[in-house]
Amino acid sequence: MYCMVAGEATNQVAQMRRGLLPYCVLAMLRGTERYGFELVRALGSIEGMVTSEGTIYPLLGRLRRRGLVGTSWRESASGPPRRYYRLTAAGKAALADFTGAWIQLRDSVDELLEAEKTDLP
Amino acid sequence: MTDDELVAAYLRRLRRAARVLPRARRQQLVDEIAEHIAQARASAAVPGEGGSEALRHALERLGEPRDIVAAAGGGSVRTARPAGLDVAAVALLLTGGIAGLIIGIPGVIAGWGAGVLLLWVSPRWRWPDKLLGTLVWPGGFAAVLLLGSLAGSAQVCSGGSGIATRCSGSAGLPPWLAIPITVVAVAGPILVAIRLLRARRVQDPDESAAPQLIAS
Repeated sequence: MYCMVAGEATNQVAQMRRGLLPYCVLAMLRGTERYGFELVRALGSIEGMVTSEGTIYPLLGRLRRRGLVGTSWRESASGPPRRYYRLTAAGKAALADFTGAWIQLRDSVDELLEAEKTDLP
Repeated sequence: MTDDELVAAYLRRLRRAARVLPRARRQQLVDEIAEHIAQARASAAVPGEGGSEALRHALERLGEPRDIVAAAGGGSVRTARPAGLDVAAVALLLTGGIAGLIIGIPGVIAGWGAGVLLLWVSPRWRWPDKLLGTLVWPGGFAAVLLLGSLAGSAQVCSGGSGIATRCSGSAGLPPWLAIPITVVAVAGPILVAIRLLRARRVQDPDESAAPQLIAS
């Protein structure tokens, strides 16, 4: 079986996080529209989620090009107009798909990790 | 450094780093980051004294411009296929036919054909550009020379590569018609060549990635 040393595990987790980030963005837009700064700040304040906030914008661009999020401009009472991001129907479907798969995977991994723990002497 | 200068310097670094991105995407990214900074400044509780501190903090959280560009797919650009083959394709389209002219028509077809082949196998152009490169003009400059010699057999053309050709001749087309036609005939391939060199697209991680994956 493939065996990982400690440092490698950290690297793997960083990759997993990068893979999960798009779905976290979709999840943050579920049921509500958010403007860029608000969305990025909210994601950035989740422990260990993003190292540099600026990298979320290219991700938002990808999501938009794939038709998973849409944007619209809105005037703001304080400051410049804001570009709001919202989930599209395709975005909602992608998020629902992911949610199902994630719960299943999470439960399976949890189960394995728990079993390992009880096996330890 | 004032706050405005700080922002301008950051955006300048971002723009410079983002040169490797396709134009539309570069503009989009810079716009969004500029908006983010504007929102960050608007949301800073106390403008003025505390503003600078808040701005510095906001820029720090945004991260290094080159990291942002790398996240936009700009990191893969330098490791992409070398541009040499693309330049060769354009050069052959323009002048490959002329080199083949020594052997005659088959040579023209071979020289220009090699350019067409390189054009169509390259992933860097979309099909409308490939079509444009093929159709204006088949044979490149060689075709222009051949046609020119057919149109006015007594015409003597000087100039040639790059600059508008000047033709003088007793027979054939009158100068008021021959000169514009020559200019169009010579400028056409040159403009297409410039367009092709500019329209080379950056390898897009979105389009090459598996469709079910959002992250690249």
